[in-house]
Amino acid sequence: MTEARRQILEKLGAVAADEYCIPNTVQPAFVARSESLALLLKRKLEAVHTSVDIVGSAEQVGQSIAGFLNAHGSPLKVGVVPGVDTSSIPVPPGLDFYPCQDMAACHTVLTSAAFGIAETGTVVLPSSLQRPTLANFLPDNCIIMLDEVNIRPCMEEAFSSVQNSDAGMPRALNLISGPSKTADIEQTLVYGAHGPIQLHVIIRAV
Amino acid sequence: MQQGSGFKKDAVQALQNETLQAALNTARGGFVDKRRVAVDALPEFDAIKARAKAIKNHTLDNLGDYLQEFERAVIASGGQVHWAQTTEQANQAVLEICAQANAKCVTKGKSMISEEMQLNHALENAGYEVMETDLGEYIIQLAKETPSHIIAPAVHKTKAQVEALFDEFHGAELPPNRSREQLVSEARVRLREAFLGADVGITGANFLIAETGSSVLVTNEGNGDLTASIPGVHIVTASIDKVIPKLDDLPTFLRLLGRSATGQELTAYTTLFTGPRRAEETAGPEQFHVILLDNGRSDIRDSEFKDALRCIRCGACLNHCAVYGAVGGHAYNAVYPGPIGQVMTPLLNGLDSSLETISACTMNGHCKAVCPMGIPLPDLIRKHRVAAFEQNKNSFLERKGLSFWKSMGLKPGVYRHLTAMSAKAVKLLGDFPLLQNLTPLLGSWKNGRVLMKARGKTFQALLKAGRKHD
Repeated sequence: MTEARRQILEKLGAVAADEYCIPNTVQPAFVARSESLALLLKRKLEAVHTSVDIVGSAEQVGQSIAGFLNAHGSPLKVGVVPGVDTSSIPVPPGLDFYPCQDMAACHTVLTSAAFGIAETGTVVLPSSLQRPTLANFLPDNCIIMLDEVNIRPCMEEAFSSVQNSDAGMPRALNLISGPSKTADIEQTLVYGAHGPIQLHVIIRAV
Repeated sequence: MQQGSGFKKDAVQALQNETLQAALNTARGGFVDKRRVAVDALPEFDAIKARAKAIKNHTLDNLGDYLQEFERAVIASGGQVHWAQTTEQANQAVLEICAQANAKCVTKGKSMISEEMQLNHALENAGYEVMETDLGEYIIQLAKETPSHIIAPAVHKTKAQVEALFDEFHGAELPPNRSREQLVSEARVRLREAFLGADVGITGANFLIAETGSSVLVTNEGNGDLTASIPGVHIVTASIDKVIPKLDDLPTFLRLLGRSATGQELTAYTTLFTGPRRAEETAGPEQFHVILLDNGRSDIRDSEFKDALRCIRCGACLNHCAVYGAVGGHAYNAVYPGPIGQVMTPLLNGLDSSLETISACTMNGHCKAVCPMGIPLPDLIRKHRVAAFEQNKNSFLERKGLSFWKSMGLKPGVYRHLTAMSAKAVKLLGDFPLLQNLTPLLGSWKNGRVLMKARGKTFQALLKAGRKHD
């Protein structure tokens, strides 16, 4: 292996790098504030089969969750990742939160995004003990909360926010733009290939 | 069969295969239309293309340095880098990691580099159970075939064929004429079991980021994440040309990749994997390995084919290729079909076995026009043709034909005379259709085409006559 490494590098010539000077000035103009970032994010996510509620109060969070589950005929039982504190969310009648350990056994999960990207309709979830990455991929229903203040206009700003966070780069940085899907059978879109069949995003404007 | 060879024979079979033609017809329009809509909606597309090209050129010029920066960052995040000059060395590295982990079951995300390595073969020979987890790859694994498209591996299969395969392998009493949703759901259940039982997960990488040591994976299914995050060991197989300098460069490439491939602004999942699980985490792999495969690329970097290393494997050149659209990917008998394959296969497998493949290009330039990395694909294919001619590799007849064409080009008088005669002959054939049946070679050409009525004069003659009128 060290011999292979030596030979590859010898061929490539390990000379001092040309200075990197390729400014990143080109970013999509459509992000330029004709609508709020939250509305752009919502519109982009809805275009890829995701339901989005923008809520202004803690009561509305519970209502949004119950509404989403009822719309899909799912049981009102929600596994919650360690990083989400549900104590401040008033629970509508019938809705049940429980701390979720085994993501493979969880039907509906509630987790939170660190950032949103308006440009692409994306929620950004850095993995951690508080925010396990498998919550985003194993349950059939995935509910993700996002604070409006954390929505960034474009990908560059979201990446830089992650890099500059206390935790730095996580093991897995998930950029999620819609539920799991495949078009591998005759180019026809089918949702729920492996991960969530339904994705619901709650943007908290408080 | 030698990789890259047998194009002519297989292309003829593909054209006569009605099921394949039906599958290709379904696919053809979709990719092209979706890409156009997505690209038209982003006026900055060309400027983004230019920046991506500049970044890649800079990276290739300083590839050794960026690979070492990437290596340092991977190690700093707790991972390991394994360098491999050949596919054998790369397979060996994977096998050693699997052996040390006492693995039995391996899940795999889609990776063209692992196809290059024939990794499944190596793993199965060593006694491991291997499961492809991308739905398209899973389908062709059951069918014991190779991918026919770099982003849609089972694009050559009809729904009926997929259903027949699932009947055979999913056992149980399954009703006939199941919907696509039902088929996907069957595979989901089957693969979920594999994900949860895997000891090692192997994924490819769309990009490697030197600055952070991250490996970037884009999928729509989420299979790459389940492959990478459940088992105790995550192995990334990537070629050395995948590296880009900074995290801030990634958006530039992502804006091009999804739009060019499937017309998406971003795929459903884009994940950056950096190292193994953190000390405080209770889930995620304990080991993170990156296999860096050269397989001839360091030589390509210093050749006249360097431009090809900018490729981000979006598949747009395949989707816009007249030849690929007619015969599908398998006729190329190579890991990479279509225009990028016509450039890469002779470089990876040698020119001798690729002579028919490099001939299968109409030089219409569509691939070059849609390539988000500005790779001059027809020009590179032409360079292979020139090399083949210079190295005397063409058949006697081909060489004679080309020499005749050259001599005509040098004698415009004779050329004009001969073309005037053929123009008259074509008019005659158009006027008396029965004559067409007696003309040698015209028979197979006429399958699927109608000979148009000709005016009997060459363009040059008409132009001259027109000028006299003025």
